[in-house]
Order: sequence, then structure tokens, then C-alpha cells
Amino acid sequence: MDWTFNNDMPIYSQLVDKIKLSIVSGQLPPGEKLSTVRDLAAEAKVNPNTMQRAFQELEREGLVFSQRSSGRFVTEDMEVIMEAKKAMARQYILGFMENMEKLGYTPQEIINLIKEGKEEDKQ
Amino acid sequence: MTATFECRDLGKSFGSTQALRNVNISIAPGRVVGLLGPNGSGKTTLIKLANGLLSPSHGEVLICGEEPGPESKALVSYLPDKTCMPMWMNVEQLMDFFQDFYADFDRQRAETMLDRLGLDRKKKLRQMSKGTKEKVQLIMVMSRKAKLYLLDEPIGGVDPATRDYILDTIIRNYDPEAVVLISTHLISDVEKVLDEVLFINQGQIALQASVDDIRQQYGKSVDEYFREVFKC
Amino acid sequence: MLGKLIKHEFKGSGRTMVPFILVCLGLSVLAGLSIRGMENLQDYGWFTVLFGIVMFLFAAGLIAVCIMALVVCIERFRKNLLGDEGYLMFTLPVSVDEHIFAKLIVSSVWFVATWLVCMLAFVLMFLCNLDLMDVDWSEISYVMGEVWAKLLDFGLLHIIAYILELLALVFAACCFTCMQFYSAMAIGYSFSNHKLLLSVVFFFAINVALSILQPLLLVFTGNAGLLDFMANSAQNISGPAAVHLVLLGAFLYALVFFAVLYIPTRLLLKYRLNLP
Repeated sequence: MDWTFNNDMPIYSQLVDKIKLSIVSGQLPPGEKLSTVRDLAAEAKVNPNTMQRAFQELEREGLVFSQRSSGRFVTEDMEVIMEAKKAMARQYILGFMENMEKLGYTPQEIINLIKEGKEEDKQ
Repeated sequence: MTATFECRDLGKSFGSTQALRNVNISIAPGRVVGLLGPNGSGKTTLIKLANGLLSPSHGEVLICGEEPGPESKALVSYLPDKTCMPMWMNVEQLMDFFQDFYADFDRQRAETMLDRLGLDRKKKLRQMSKGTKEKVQLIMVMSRKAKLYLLDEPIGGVDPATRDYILDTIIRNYDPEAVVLISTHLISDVEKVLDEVLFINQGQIALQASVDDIRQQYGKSVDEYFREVFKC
Repeated sequence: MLGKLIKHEFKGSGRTMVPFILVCLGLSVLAGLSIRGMENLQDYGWFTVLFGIVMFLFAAGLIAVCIMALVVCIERFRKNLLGDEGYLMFTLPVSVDEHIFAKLIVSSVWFVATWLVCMLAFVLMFLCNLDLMDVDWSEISYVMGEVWAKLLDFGLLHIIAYILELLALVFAACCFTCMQFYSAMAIGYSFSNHKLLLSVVFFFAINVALSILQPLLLVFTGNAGLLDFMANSAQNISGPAAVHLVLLGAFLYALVFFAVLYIPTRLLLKYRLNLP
């Protein structure tokens, strides 16, 4: 995983996003056991408390669950994962649209541009 | 719950200069705290007061509810901003020394870390490079299961690779119930490993806040925020 | 914890002192053998030169070991407690008193040890010169027996008490000597600059103060009835008891001056420590 961080956002929420991305992209498959907070924190070079907080957030969203004795796992509930994936996609689109609108495009023009881009890619 | 580290109206003067004044701090167990401030702002003075290397001119400093003394020193693991180990010792002798005086010294942990560095136990400290000496000192300090780690400028004057090694060693080894207080002026390097920051300027605490709160509230890193607050 | 401090203090000082002591004893053997050589050789020649060198080294070694005991006493305090190592030492879970006493005890042991080494060196030199075959052992055992009988006559309890009192007096005197240096350094090193220079200045200042104080104390205690007491005692108590009185009196006297230096030193180290 890439552990670089932006300056303008809390570190824990960036951790949440990074782990979430790994889960929805399948890099961390459903049911996969996660490393301990301490190890992951050391890997990301962040404070274990911050990593803990990120996991709590992910648990709240249902993307990971912990079993008292055996550790933490990625959820096996595909519905939750797809939901998270969609939510992330929506967020990306929102950001993208915002930037495009700043350039002066209307939503319809944006859609056309995307289509054109795809045609060019095919050629 | 008793705070692990507490200052009440703490002040320290050297002659006519006031190095610290009206310092009120309370840190709960389990926090990693950055003591951030420009050079000469009173960081080392505060840490020395907590260690009992200096006596307060005013107010008090408490470690787990106790004033600095033999009892509190058994709970505090201190990394000074200079190498203070007897240079004639080898690593083995240094471990014996720590084991003798600190009941919470985990020799196994120290051995593991030394193995990772591939250090010869019979090598005298005098024969080591400055960087290796600092690493050995850090290993000794972090091999204790202390209640309070006081790390004075642990990453000052070392190369980026060593900096990573030091921060990694701190994160991997501190006791989860302990407080880690890291004093530094290199904020961007330590920012990620901190829960909270204490800004200290001209002997006074200017701010105590959580790192994520600062980022959330101001939309910038602690480093950037610090530069803004202490703009000269 | 005091025990552990003493153990590590012996390790820290022993690595200087032990080699010096061994060299001294080695030189004494060498000196004894060369004296013997001088006696047996018919034609000296070059051997005279060698003999001169060995004897010079022997004398120098004895002086050096005595000086080293003092240097180690001072340097261990200065470097270990007031230098960079102070950061390590003063953050140990140990009280200031334990720190000072560990240094005092170990230094005293080295002072006594160097004194014993000097004696031993002469004994060794003498023994190397002796033909063990020629010794009349029955004579020696006879003399030893006589001495033992005399001691029993005098009272073994008295002898043991003398030895203990003498040891206490020697220890107090050693501690007092160390404290003159320690207190001077404790004051000198509480300043930010010119620490060493100020220590030297304060060492002489303390010595002057003590040399004024000592006769004053004698006069004061004398006027306060000590002289009368001694005059009475001289008439009323037995010889052995008078020796006890003198030994204990001297011990108390050393103790008072020790305390005069000790108390400010511990306060300075506790409240006005000023590490580099």
C-alpha cells in the first residue's frame, strides 16, 4: 500500500480511505485477515492510536470486523463492499464534476467528452 | 484516572531569565505527544524538570502523581539530546547496567533490536560512529516498559534513513499504556506518529491539540500551521 | 540500589586502578630480584644501569598508584556525575545520597587499597630477596605465638574494638578528604561557565575556610568543657579506655567536618544540578 499523506486532511481519515480502496479493489479480498494495528501502524509510519481510530471507523462502516481472539478481518458481506465501492465512485465523480464545471462544461458536454475519450482510446 | 504527565503552574527561572512560566499540561496514558517549539523555547528545560535534573522555581511537575525522585525515575525512560553512556562500556556491559537499575528493562527486546542492527556486543561505544551510538542509546531507552518516555530531540541531526529507523523503533516498542513525549523542531518528520501536539514558545505553552483536530479545523498539516503561528 | 551503584562504581574505577596496582606489584617483584642480582653478581657493569632503572620505576609506580587513587576519585565524580554521563546517572531510580555514598565508599576502598599495595610492594620486594630455605620458621612461629599471647593479655575485645574504631576513623577521614573535592566541584559545576576553574578556586577557598574553622572548633569545644573532661578522664580512666576515647573523639571530629561539607553538596546536587 502507498502510505503517503496529504497535508490538508486528518491522517486517520486518509488511512480509512486507503484501506477502503484496498478492500473495494480486491487487493484485500473478503475474509482476509488484517495485520495487527501495531504492525500496520509501523508500516505506515503512523501512530498506533491513529491506526486504531481508522479501524474503528472501518468497523463502524461494516467493512472490517474483529474477532476477540483471532484478530481483524475484511468483511465477507459483498453487499457492504459494493456499497462502499459505489460511495467512493460517487465521491470521485462529484469531485471530477466540480472541476469540470469550473472549466465551464455542462453535464451533457462532460458525458460527450468522456464518450469521445473512449472512442479515441479504442482507436 | 491520574495523568501520566502533569505540570501545574510550572515555572523555571535561571537567574533573571524565565525559561518556563505558567505551564499547565496534563497528558493521559497511551498518548504520543509532540513537544514542538523553536530552539530555545524551553523544550529541554521542561524535559529536565520532568526528570528531576532541574528543580522547579514555581509550581510542580508530576509523573503518575509523583514528584520527580527515585520512585518517578523508575517509571521514566529518558533519551537526552546527547549521548550520555559511559564510552568505555561495550554493549553487553551497557545492557547489564540497565538491567541492574531498571526492573522494567526487557533484555530480550534489546537483544532483538541489536541483532537487527547486527551489532557486535563486545564492541566498545567509543569505537562506534555517532549515529550508531545514538541508535544504541535509543534501543536501551525503548527496551524499557516505562510509563513515560521522554525523548529529547531524538531525530535532530541524523540522516533521513536513520530518522525513519528511530521513529519506527519508537512506534514499535513503546508500551501502549505509556505516554511518549517527543521534543523536536522537525515537525513534518514526526507529525504522522503523534496523537497530540504541544506548541511551546518563549517558555509558555501556546497550544495543546490533537494532530487530526488541527488538520480538520485548519485544513493544513501541523507543520504548516506551526509555521503560521510562529511566523517571524 | 546502593549495592548496585557500588558494584558499577568498582567496574568504572577498577579498569584504571587494577592495572596500576598490578604493575606496582610486578615492579616490586622485579625490584626485589634485581637487588638480589646486585648482591650475587661479581661483576656489575651494565647491570647497574638496569638496577637503577628498575628501582626508579618501582618508586615511580608507588607514587603513581597513590596519585591515581586521588585522580580516579576526582575524575569519577566529575565525569560520571557532573559530565555528560550525569544525564544517565541522575535519571537512575537512585537518591542523591546513594550516589555520593557510592563514590565515597569506593574511593575510600581504593585509598586504603593503595596504602596496602604500597606495604605489600615492600614486603614482596623483601621476600624476593630472601632465601626461603634460610628462614628459621620455628623462630617465626615462636614470635607470632608471643605476640598473640601479649594480645590476649591486653584483652582481645579491646584489640577488636581498636581495629573497628580505627577503620571507622580511616573511613571518615577518607570521606572527609573526598568531600573536600566533591563539595568544591559541586559548587564549581553549578555555574554555567568556567566550571573547572571555579571548582579549583572553591577547593582552595574551602581549604582556607576549614583551616580557620578547625582550630576554632577546638577552642570552642575546649572552652565548652572538653579540656576539663579530658583532664578528669586522664586521671580516672585506664590506659586502654583512654585510647578508645581518643579514637572515638577523632572519629567524631572527622564526622562533624564531613557533615559540614556533605550537606551543602547533596543540596547542590539535588536542587542546583547544572549538567552541560
